[in-house]
Amino acid sequence: MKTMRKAFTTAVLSFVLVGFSGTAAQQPSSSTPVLTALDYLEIEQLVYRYGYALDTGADNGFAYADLYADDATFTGTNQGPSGRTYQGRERLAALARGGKRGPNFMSHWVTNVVIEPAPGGAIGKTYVGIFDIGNGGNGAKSRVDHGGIYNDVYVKTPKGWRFKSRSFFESTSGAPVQPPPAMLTTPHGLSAAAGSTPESRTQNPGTLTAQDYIEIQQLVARYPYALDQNPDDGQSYANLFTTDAVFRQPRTEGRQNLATMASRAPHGAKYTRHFLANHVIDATADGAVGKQYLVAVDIGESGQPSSIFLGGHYEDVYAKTPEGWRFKTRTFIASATGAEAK
Amino acid sequence: MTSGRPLTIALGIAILAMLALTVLPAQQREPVTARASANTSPLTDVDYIEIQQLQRKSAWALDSGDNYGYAFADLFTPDGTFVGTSEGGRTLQGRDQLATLARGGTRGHTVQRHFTMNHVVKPSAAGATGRAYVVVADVGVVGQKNKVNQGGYYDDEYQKTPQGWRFKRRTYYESKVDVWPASAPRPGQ
Repeated sequence: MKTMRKAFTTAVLSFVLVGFSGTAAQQPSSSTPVLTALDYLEIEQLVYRYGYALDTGADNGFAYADLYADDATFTGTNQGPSGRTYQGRERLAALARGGKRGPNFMSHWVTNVVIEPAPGGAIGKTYVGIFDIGNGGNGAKSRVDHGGIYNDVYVKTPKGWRFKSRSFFESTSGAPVQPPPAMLTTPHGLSAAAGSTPESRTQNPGTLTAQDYIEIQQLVARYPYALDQNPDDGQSYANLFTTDAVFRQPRTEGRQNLATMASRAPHGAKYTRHFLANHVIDATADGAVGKQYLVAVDIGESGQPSSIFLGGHYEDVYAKTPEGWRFKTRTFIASATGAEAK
Repeated sequence: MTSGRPLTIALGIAILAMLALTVLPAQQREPVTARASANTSPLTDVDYIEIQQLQRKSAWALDSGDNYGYAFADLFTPDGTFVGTSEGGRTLQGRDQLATLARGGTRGHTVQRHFTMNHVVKPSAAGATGRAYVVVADVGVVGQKNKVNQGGYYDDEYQKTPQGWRFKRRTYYESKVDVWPASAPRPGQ
């Protein structure tokens, strides 16, 4: 049964990833819409509403179901030996009211949202950490339960952006079983998504447009995928940086060295470890600076408990290049108990 | 079948359903949406981004304790309020009271505890409202294993001021599960 499940999962993953690869590697075709900054934000809002709808089970599950288009599907590749697909409003609502829930229950933590235009709408992917926090007063400690990736297809309906399909893949570590096709980490995808040249979008030196913010957010959101899944010997990771970029720590300069560093980190086609949060961005005369929190979660596999590997934050300098926004410098600083604020 | 009775029953059911919706807690009946209602103005892309940035900065200000807590306080309107609903609850209002929340204890630029995600925003008559999940993780504490400490969500009201978007009110609710089906595994299982 395990073999069947693995085969199914691999088949679904390959299908989805090949689909992503096909769109990410190319410039938008004539049938691919240009996404505005507001489109990105509305899709992001859809993705974030998902957690609330699923965890609260609001409207008897229909708040969750109504995030999907009429004929949309959710596939849990971890459900049963060969995965399970839910289609239609009633079945999706039943899914949302069948699990742990409550008006104040918070379980599905979604981050690293990457969005790209695609024929018919958009595609995307997100990390999800599924936490047990607040166990109804039974004294159990809060903990990371499991996690993984959602692969999404979005469609714009008269009611707004909706999921056309969403598939969950549980995090799996280790070296890739097979070289996975590139996901949404192709650098061209980032600049192509903007729909115009970078130069035309910045109005004044020292200011950032909404589109600049979106592109920098997307750059940072792509970082964990390039590192954790590393589909191409670190090339996607290295291409997130300028050619003269510096990463600390360890101090690493140049794309080839960055690619080598990424390849030495644990990775796998479905591996999720780096959860980024609280990304703030500020304009500078030369571009932008930003910072975000990192929590690296070792998600348990085969029934093993999950644990937090480390936490801390990144401090970044971003530069706008002909390829789009890139990391000029990126510095990781581990979290440590601080002195009292002065 | 042309009798009025079925219609009366149907109307009765409809009225009961409407009443039920009226008394349900807001978070149960109202999925957070980004759509503007008739008496609200839509938010622009810049509004969304500024509110996102405000919300994200709150975690940095709270954990760093910058400016003796005033970096956090200055993310609120002058009459802004923070409500903590756990442990009996407490309400802090005004710059000085809010600053006290973000100082003392363990703070600093290398303290990362409040991880916020799932930030949804929608327009409201007074500006905007939103929610964000927050997980409080203890990481990098000398002598302790990293762990998830607690978590829940923030319920926010935002107001546009001459200085930009600010919190008018922020309420923290601790996560609590109400329904745990027998089929769902318990921690440790």
